Amino acid sequence: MNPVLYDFKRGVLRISVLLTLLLSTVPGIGLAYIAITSISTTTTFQSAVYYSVIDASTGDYKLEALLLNPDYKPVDGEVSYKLGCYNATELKRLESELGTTNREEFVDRANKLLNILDEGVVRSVNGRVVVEKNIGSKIGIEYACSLYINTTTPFGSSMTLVSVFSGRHYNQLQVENKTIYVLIETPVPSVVYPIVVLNDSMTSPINLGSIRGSVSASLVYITGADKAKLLLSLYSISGREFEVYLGKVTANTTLINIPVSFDPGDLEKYFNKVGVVEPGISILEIDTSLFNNTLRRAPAYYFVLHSRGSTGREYSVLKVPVNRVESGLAARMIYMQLISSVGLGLFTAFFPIIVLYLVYVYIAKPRSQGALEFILARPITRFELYTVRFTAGVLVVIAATSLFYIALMTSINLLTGVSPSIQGGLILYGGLVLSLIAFYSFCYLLGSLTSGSRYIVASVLSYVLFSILWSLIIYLIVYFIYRGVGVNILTEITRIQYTLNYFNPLRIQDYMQYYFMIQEVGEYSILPTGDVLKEVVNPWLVATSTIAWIIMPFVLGWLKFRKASLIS
Amino acid sequence: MYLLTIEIHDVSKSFGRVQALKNVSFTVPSGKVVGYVGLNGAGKTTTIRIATGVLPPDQGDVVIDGYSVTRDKKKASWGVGWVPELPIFESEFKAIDYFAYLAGYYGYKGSEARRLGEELLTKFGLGDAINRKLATFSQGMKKRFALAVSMINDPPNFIFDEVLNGLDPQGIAFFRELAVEFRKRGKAVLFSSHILSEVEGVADIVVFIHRGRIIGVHSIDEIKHEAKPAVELVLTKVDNDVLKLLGKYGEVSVVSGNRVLVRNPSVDSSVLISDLVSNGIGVLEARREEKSLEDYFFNLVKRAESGEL
Repeated sequence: MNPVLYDFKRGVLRISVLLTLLLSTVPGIGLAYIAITSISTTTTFQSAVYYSVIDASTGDYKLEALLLNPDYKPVDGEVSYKLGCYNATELKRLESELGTTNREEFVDRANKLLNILDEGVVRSVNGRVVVEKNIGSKIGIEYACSLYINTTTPFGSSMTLVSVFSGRHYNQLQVENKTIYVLIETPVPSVVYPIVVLNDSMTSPINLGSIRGSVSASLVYITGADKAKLLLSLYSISGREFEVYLGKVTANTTLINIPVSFDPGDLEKYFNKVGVVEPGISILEIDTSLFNNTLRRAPAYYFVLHSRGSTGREYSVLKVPVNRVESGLAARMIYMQLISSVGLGLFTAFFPIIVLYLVYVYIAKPRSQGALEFILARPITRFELYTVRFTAGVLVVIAATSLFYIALMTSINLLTGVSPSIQGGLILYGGLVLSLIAFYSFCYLLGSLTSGSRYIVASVLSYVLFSILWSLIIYLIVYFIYRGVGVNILTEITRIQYTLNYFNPLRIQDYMQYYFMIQEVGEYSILPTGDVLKEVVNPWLVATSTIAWIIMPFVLGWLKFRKASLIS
Repeated sequence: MYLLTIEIHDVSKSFGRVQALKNVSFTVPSGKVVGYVGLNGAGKTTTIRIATGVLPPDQGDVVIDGYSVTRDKKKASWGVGWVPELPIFESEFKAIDYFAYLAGYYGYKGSEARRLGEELLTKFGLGDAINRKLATFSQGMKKRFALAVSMINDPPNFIFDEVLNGLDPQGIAFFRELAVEFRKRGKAVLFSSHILSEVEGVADIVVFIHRGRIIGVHSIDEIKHEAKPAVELVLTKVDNDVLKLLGKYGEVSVVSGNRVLVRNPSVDSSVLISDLVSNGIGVLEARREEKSLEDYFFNLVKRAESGEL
């Protein structure tokens, strides 16, 4: 076997290195989890579509939810819900009795009216949650119901207080002598319209006649996407499917209008059919060309939902506002977390310890023992011995980093559905692996200059300087230079930090993270220091310092190693 | 076509301010065992480390079968095997694994290297220790392991550095016989020791080194000859009749003037003196010298230190 590969294999098959590789994979998964958790527990960027119906006479209960990430793509998570109903008449009586005089007692007694009829925790599949059951209780007409729902996804979690005065309220519909409680909700900005029986003509706004159901709608346009998304939560007593029409739009139109009243036969004169939906939750993807380049400026669009059946026709006319969303928001959130101190920062803070240990194993320890001499007595030159051990260590670093990175990215993708482009992924990976190889090269130099315990002291001190004290030193430099001067300290810290990072092998990754964000998000100005980074980060300097940090220690180490006695 | 030899040319080496070797030159010809004898710290191991290519010389060169260890190290190392005094390995590995690793430098692939390892380790008495960690090996086992590794390509030249140190009698006999066998097979063998008698019976030529300097290169016959006991006499006269008379009792040589030396005398010195006196030759002074190989060696050292050599 080629001695490089053997040294690599030998290096890998050590318990310590196997443990390293394992420790590289586990943190990949762990860091993905930590990064996601830190997002999901801090801010809520998620959204959801809800659809719930209670048949008061039978107690049949249905709950549907579709969980969405910041890009309005389905994302998996956990839904915990409670269905509570209370006697609205009793509540009104209580309010008239106590509401104005003793608020605390009123709230206390009002909440005692709340009767939890069902509750549960459900894990979504492809972002969808469906609960169908009979809650076994018949709900009187004087009752009101609320849904208390909490969702947890990688993009946030919600908390809803279980109280008469909070939660999502069901609307009571009296249809065909039945009392139906309906809850429909799409992400804001959204509209809710009734579905009515269609008589002679369609009107906008619709003439309230015989109500047959209701629909909530949101229109989302992700900047630059070729499809807009119409999110619908629709209840219809008939249970029929509905055709969905989008009002025709002409180019350069800023205010899109339709006739106040028009004949159903003229529907396709004013509208384009964009799809068919069933009652419940639907997402219609509409080609942006149908909006005639107006999606960036038009405030709202008209939609018609139309259904025909043996019992007659039903329709609704909706004026749905556009929710314009910046593209890649979900990815940006994940990536910002990923490159933070709880993401890759943790790995690059601790993995260098393994790197310095690798150098100890490959060169510092055998050199201090004198074991390199016996190897050098084989048909091998001193330079080959030096290079073989260097290369074997680099291969271990690459293997460990690759395992970590694959585990990290796979976990993030599984948890959030977000994954970077190939180019972006390579930049981020390159930053990691080049930083660690540069540090390996530096430690290899130390291993050539010293050996045994002296190497351990020198390499640990270097690690402490480059990894732990670096930020503190930069802060102190900025503090002493700009103390009392009216400058933005954060900006100056960033400027000095990214200037001095060229002199730190472990900070090569910082530059690569900068280029990664530019590649994946388009710009880095999401940070207040983004403009400073543009000034300081120079691709030629990044390339030069990276190459120098890898090549120079290797060469300097060789100059020492070529004549050195290999017995301490 | 080069002769199979180890040629050491004018090698010097310093460690800091200490000069370990000064212009060391000698040759180990094929089919000969050259003993390399010197006190501890004389420079034997430094010479050998340079000869095996693991230590670069400050000056001079070592040529193995025509290949310079400084300029053509790979080919030179291919031609020489080395068993160090204290072999040091990365001892956390199993013998067979480390053997296979080192065999990689000779071009052997995985399974082929392991098969060769099993064969050579067994041949040199380590068959039961193939899967043991090198850290558990005794000094003798380590030397046998180093030998097995050095025999991967059965090189035409061999260097044993203080190889008998720390070995049991069986181990000592093994390596002495091995050196003799190598000589029979035409290998050039350099066999270092700090005890001259260790190389007796093995070496054809002995190179003496003291304080980094070669102080003598002698054939073993010459050394044995020099090392015999002798009677030194100062007589009233020395002529052919006297020399003829003394010749009956041993090898006679005139040291200077009337001073003669009778080497390896067949009789006690008193018998010799009474025969001289009875033949009318006056004996002014008589001194018996009992010289061993070590006396010979120390005599050389003494002469080197006095500047005589």
